[in-house]
Parts: sequence; structure tokens; C-alpha cells
Amino acid sequence: MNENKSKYIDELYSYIQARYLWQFFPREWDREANINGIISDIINILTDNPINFNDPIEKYFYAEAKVVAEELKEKFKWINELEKQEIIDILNKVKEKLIEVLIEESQNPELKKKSY
Amino acid sequence: MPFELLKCDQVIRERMRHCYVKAPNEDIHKYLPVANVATIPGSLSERGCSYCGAKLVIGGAIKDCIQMIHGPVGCAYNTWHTKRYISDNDDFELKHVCSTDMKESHIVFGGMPRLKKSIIEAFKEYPNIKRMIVYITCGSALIGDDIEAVAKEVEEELDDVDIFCVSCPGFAGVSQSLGHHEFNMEWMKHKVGTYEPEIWSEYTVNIIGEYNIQGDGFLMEDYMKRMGIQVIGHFTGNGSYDLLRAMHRAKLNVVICSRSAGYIANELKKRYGIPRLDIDSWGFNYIAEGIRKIGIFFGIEDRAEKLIQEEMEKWKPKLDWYRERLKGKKICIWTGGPRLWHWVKAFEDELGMKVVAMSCKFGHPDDFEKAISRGSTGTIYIDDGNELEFFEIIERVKPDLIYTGPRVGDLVKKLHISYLDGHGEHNGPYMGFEGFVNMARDMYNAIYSKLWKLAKIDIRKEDIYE
Amino acid sequence: MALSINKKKRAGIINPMYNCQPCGAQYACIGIKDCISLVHGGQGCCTFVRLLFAMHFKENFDIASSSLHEDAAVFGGMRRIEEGVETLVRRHPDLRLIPIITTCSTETIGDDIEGAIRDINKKFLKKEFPDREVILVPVHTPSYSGSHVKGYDTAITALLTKLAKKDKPNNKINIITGWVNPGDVNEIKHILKELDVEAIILMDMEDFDAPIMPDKSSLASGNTTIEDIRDTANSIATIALSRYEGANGAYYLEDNFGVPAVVCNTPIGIKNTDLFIKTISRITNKPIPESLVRERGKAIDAMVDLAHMFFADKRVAIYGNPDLVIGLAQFCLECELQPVLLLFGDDDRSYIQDPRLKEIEKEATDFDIEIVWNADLWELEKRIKDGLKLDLILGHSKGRYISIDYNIPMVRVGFPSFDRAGLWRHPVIGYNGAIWLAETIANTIFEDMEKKKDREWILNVW
Repeated sequence: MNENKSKYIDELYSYIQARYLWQFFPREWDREANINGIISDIINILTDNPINFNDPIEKYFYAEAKVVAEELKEKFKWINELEKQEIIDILNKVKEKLIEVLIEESQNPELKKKSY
Repeated sequence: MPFELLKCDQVIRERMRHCYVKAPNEDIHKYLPVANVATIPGSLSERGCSYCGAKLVIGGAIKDCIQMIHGPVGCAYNTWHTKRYISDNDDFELKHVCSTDMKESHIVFGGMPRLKKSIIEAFKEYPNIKRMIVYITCGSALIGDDIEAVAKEVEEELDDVDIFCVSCPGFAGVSQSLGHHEFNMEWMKHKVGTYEPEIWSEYTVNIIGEYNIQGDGFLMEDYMKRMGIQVIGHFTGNGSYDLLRAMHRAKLNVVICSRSAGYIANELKKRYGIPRLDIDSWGFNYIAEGIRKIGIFFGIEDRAEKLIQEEMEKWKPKLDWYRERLKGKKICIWTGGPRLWHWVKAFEDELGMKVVAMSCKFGHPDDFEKAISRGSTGTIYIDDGNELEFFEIIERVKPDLIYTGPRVGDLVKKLHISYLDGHGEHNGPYMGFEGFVNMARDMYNAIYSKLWKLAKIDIRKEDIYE
Repeated sequence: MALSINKKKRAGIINPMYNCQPCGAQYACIGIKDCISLVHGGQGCCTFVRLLFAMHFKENFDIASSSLHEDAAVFGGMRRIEEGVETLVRRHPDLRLIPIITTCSTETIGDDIEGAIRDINKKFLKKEFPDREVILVPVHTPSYSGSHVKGYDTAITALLTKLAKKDKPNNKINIITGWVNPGDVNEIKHILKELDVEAIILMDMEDFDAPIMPDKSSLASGNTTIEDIRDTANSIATIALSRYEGANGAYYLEDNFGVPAVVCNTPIGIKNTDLFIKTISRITNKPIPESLVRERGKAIDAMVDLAHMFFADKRVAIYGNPDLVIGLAQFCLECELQPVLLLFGDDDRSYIQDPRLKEIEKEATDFDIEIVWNADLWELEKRIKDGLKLDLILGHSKGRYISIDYNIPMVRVGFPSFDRAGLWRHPVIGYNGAIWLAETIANTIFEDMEKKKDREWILNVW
């Protein structure tokens, strides 16, 4: 599985970047919250971990995550073959890449504005 | 070189950073066009003004209030009869606009008494309407008229009237965009939370950034209704002034146009903890996904799936018919901003078409992050495209169809290219399942029009009908 | 009978009838070849007027904006003018004329347009394009004064002031059309051809009707050239067809170049067209051909079929540009339509002092006429709401909901006519214009009769 790992990371990252909107909220703190919250829920869903919502925002993360998880399983059949830890590793790497491209290295000057 | 200086821009080299051609293995953190910066004078840009962003785009769609433009008559005149946002209030918002008709004496001596008089007159002429939006314009802004002070005076003198003031003159910002921002932020600051709605469902949403153009909003409202979800504020399509003051009571904000109204969704999250859910509302896959997410959020996924299934059964066969005939056709999208990234994958994945060039009038960098992420390689992405650039792009990409405004459409027809109204739609609605079939139908009828074959023929040549 | 003149009592406008000055200036300038105006102000002043023109003509016209942004509003917009001119001149090699049209913002901040032009001529144009002729024309059109009517007039005078130049006599007449449609321009050209008269037409809009060509070569544009405008100083006379849109240009040519100015009644209707033709004939000494007599006869014939049968006693409201309204009122009186309500949309007092109104009052023997000035469309709507009975509305498309919601047949005339197809192709001027008006009004009334089942069987045989 190891040699495919970086291919899997790239595939999932590319798919997520091109498909969804939650990672593109206009300020970096919102992007970070969404990416962290949603990827975390995706991992839990894909690894059959229970999820608790404490507030509407967490319910929202779950709603986004559930759809993503279902679509990933549908599109990338190899997910079903992976061990739980591999799923966690891969998705964490995807999260890192999202944060890198969409926040840390983003050329969007509006990300850092203090107000909306 | 990912950024390209078009031939017609040799003398305005700064345009290079606004024009990006996507190559494989390039990502948006490496290359992102400059956007939302000052317009180059004399470039024949497509941009409008900030006042328009506030009034024409957002405020003007509200169906039950008086639109009072504080300035010379032109601002009101030019933003009247230029939209197709309907309502269930007999389209009142389409039929009426008021102006304070500022004259030279008001510019010299101040226009506030004139504004006050006009406001009171208007409330008298429309006795059943107790709500008004007052907009500042270039003229009234430059002389420093304080429209809020006047509004307050009138509110104190007249019973039960509520007035909203937007101070965003045409010269503010660089395009329509600052007007959107101003309207959103001011509405949030002054109006949200000042009205309590009647709640009849435990599932409540605001639909944000949707303007009910040709009934798009009616479709969205219908989907919500069928799931038992109550729409509190529809910002601002078929929008009601008072219900928009009640947006704080919704449990979820469904955002369609994040450019024009993402701001208020952000503020509602910040102040009231209401989550912001951005959806794409054009294209079957997208709208199904959006409906599904709303369903999951409220724990009513079964209702969401039922709705999706009903709609798919009804409309998919028709879409498939068009898909067969639209496959491989090339499109340009030259609109305001978000439709670039809303539409590109819907057209490419669901209809097999190719979006070969995209240009926006007032997009921000995040619109380009989304558009480039979703768009294909080889596609051209342009910020604030101007007329000579359009000609050059057309020469290069040879599109079969262009989504743009009616005026640019009137230009490209001379080049034997069909256009579809990317702002106000051709034969809409275009949102949702039914709407996407309408889009496909319009695209099919536009591209396959026999007139293009006839247009090519030069009757002076021999054998023209061989 | 009685003619009453009332000014709108309200201070504010509800549902505006007229646009502001910069729109009028832009309309005048799109009639010129190799010309791109620079509208000096916010982007909306340019972009929305371009949209309005496209709605009316289904064509794109190039007009540029100086894109005034906040910094310019504070520090002045002169730099924006310079950049605008530089960008236009560098990117459009065929461009020869740039009218710089001001707006309320730039008039309020007091930008010195003439100064900017001098500067640009001296520095940029002289240095970078010494062998190229690019003419910059200041056009002062603040939107807080007058309306699109005045803006058109101002632009015409500004262009003549800048360009008209004495040279050898050209044996032509100048025709200043006023705010008309390409169909009217074609009709004027037709009349001139019948009279064998050569003319310089300001503005020649014939090619606004741009075809789709096999080689994709055609775009809508004006036909009047800089040379044409220059040469107006050398003509036999200037006939202005509009008192409020361009007559001042005729006076300018008279005062400065001795070209006699004749301000005609706008040639709408039989008599006004007669006067127009006789004026041309008198000035040029060309005889009036039988062809025009026959054309006149055809128009009268068409009107005779309709007048006492269908038009008599029909009450009409007319709104739009002032010369158009007055001309249409005169036409109505010729074929028994009753122009009971005329509306002018700005506060120019000279409209209500127009000598033609006295003639109209005399001709209207059986009914009262109310004239409302400084009016908006609410003045029309309110009167209808309050019981005014109308059988027909003649006006532009921004009043369409009055027709739709109150079920009153309406013939779109004037500008803009965006909710019908191709109206700009047709004249309201001349004998052919009279035919078009009469038959379009008749057909509109007929459709209304059928829709309302109001004696529609009468049309079986008439």
C-alpha cells in the first residue's frame, strides 16, 4: 500500500479541491476551521467512529463530511481496502495539503483581512 | 508562462497578471490572477458601479419596499427595467423606482431637505408600503448628504415606517462588488435581529445570495417546502424586508452566491453561530449534493433523497437527450464572477462540454481560486476582461456558445456565435433540476440554430448549396 | 378647447420618464465614425447607458469609462482622463475622435476637462502620436441639470464648436436630426434623394442596423465622419428637426459661420413633413418631385382608411422627448386621435412655451388637453388610477407596466423601445413615418379589441 499512498493522497486532494466549496471560505480562519472540522469528520465516518455534535457548526461539518465520505467511497473504491490507520494517515496528509495550498501559501490577499 | 499578455494588451502590460492559462501541474497557490483591483480607464471594461451592486443586484429584488435613489435621475432610470427578478407580490420590485431628482441647487446647497420631502411623498403615494431603502449616489455622496439622519427624522415623524440606508456611491470600490459588501454589512448591522418571525417548522433556513431571477428562487423555495423546511429570509430574491430582518432566527444559512452575499452569512455565523453552507444550485449533481447536505444537517435525509429521486425521474431523461447533442461543444463564460465556478464543472461533467475561456467582471481572488480549481487545463481565466480581449480570445478558442450579457451577445453574433444571457438567463429558470434542463435546452437551440449555417453563406459565390 | 399646463407637484420622481444628460451625449456620439466617447465618471454612467442602447438597438456600441474610483473623487480625476485617453488611443489605431463626457461626479469635483485636453494634446499625443490626428472634445453634461434631451443638445454643440471649420462652400445642407432612430435617418435620406439634395446628416445612424456578414466583418457604428462635422461650416443652411435636441448647434453655425439656421417642426405627420420638404426645396431651389406628392398621397390614403372609422374620439396619452411628443400630438390631430394628455419629463420651461402648443390648442376643437411638465411616469399612472380614460398610450418602453397592468393599448415610440422587436428600424418622421404610425396604432388597437372581445367582429370587413 505504501507506494500507492502518495498517489492516493493526490487523488483525494485533487478531487476535494475541485469539487467542494467549504475549503474556499473567504478568510483563513474559516478555511482552517472548515478543513479541520470536516476532514476530521470524514476520517471518523470512514473509520466507523461515532461523531458527537455539540453545536450547529459541528452539525454542519458533519453534513459536509458525510456527503464527501460517501462520494469518496463511491469514486475511489480502493478506500474500502484500506486499514483504518491508513485512512487516517492519508486524510491527514490531504488536510495538510489543503491547508498548505489554500491557506499558508495561498496568493489570495483577502484571506488575511481582519473583517468580513 | 502561465500568465499571458494578450496581443491587444501590449500597451497595458498590467493586464498580464489578470489573464491566466492553466497548464497541467499548476496549482492556485503558485499562480493566481490578480482580481478586484482598480480598473484601467478607457479599457472598455465590462464593470458597472458600486451603487449598482447595492441597488440593482441586491436591494432592488426586495419585493415589498420602496427604492429611493438619492441623486440625479439617471441612477434610478438606468437601474430600472434591467432585471428579471420576479416575486409573488405582483412583481412590484420590477415596476417601481423613486429618485430624489437632485438638481444643481441641491448639489450646491445640499440635498437633505429634498430627500426628506421625496421620502415622505413616496410613502404617501404608496400608502400600503411602510418600508424603504435609500441609496446614496455619486452626487449626494460628494456633497456629504447624511441620508441616515434624514431617514431617522422621517421614521420619527411617520408611523410604523422603517428605512434602510446604503451609502455606497458609484465611485466607491472598483466595480459592483463594494456595493454588495456595503449592503450586506449595513443590513446586518442595522436590520438583522429587529423583527421576530412566526416560526412554523423546526427546520429553518435563510437562502442567501439568490435573487429569484426568472423564478430560480421559487424553485429553491419549493424544494425547501417539499422537505418541510421553512425559509425565513430569502436574501433577496422574492425577498420580504421584514423577514430579512429576521434572518437571525434561521438554523442554517444556505449560500448560493457567495460573492454578493457571503458577507452576511459570515456575519450571521460570527454573531449568531448560524453555520454557513455554500451550495452550487446549477447542475443535477450539484443541486442534489446541496439538498442532501441540507437534509443531513436537519436529520431529514430521507426527505432529501425522496425529493432528489422525484426530480431525477422527472428531468434526467430530458437532460440525457440534450447531453448527447451537447457533448464536445465549447463554451465561454463571461459573467460577474461566481457563475464561472458554479457552472464549469456542471457543463463539463454533466453535459460533456468544454469550457474554454472564462472572464469575470467583479470577481475576487477567491472566485479565481474556485474557478481555476474546478476548471480545466488549457482554459483561459481572465479578470475584468475587456472588449478587445474578448475578440482575441474568440479568435483563439473558437467557442460554439458564449454565456454573457445581452450587449456582448449583440457583439458576438456578428462573429456567428450564439450567446445566452449569463446574468438574467435566456429561458429560465436555470437553477435546480428543471432549470438545468432549461439551460441545456437553450444551449442546444442556440448552438444548433440553422441561422448560423445560413450566416456563413456568401451568395456571391458559386455552389452555395452544394 | 382648453389646454391646461401643470407642473408635477411632487418634488421627487416616481418611475422616471427621462434619463440624465450623459446618456444624451453618448447617444449623439455613437453616431460618429471612428469615435469612442470617454465618459468621465463612475463606471455605471457608461456601462448602463451602453446596456440601454443595446436593449434598444440589439447592438453593441463602444463607449469607454474613465472608471472614477474613490481616490479620484478625493484628489481629482484628471489622471483618469489622461489614462483613459492613452489607453484608447494606443489600443484602437483607427480612433480619431474622443468626446470626453462629464457626469455629476466629475462636474461636482470640478475636474478641468479643457485643461486635461490641453495637457494631453501637448504631451502624450504630440510626443507619442505626432503624425496621428486624435481630437478630444470636452462635453459638459452634469446629470443634476436638464436631462438626456439637454445632454444630446450639448454634445451636438460641443462637437460643432470643436470641429466645424470654414472652407470652400460645399453646396449641401446640414440636417440636425435630433434624437431619432435609424429608421428616421433612412427616411430623411430618402426624402433628400427624392429632392436630389445632398446633405450632411448629424447623426447618420443608418449603419446601426449592422448585418451579420459571411466574413464576420460588420459591427454597428455611426456613419458621420469628422470631415462631415467640419464641413458643416460650409453648407448652404442648417435645418434642425428638433427644437430641443440640436437646434443650438444650428444657431452656433449661423452665429460663427453665417450658415443660416432653420428650426423646423419635427416632421411627424403630414403637415410637418410638408413644411420640412418645402423648407428644403426653398433653401436649395430644388423642385418637389411628383414622387413625394404620391408618397404623401399614400400616407393620407392610409390615414383616411383609419381616421373616422377607428381613430376618432380615441383618447391618447403621449410621453417622451419633447419634440417627439409635440410632433405626435400634431399627427394625432390630423387623423382624429385625441391627444388628451401630453407629458414632458424634465423641468425645462421652454417646452411649455413652445409655439406649436398654441397650434395644437387651436386644432383640438372638441376636447381638452392637459400638459404635464417635469413629469414622471407616476403622473400618468396616477391619472389613470384616478379615472382618466385612455384608449391609447404613445410612449417608450419604460412605461410598459402601465399599459400591461391597466390594460391600455400602447404603441412604443421614441427611446427606448426595448420590449418590442425592431422598432428603431421604422420611421415616425415623414410620410412613411405617418403610414407606420397610423397602421401600427391601428393594429395595436385591433389586437386589443380582439383580446377584450370588444367589437372584434367589426374587423371581418372594414
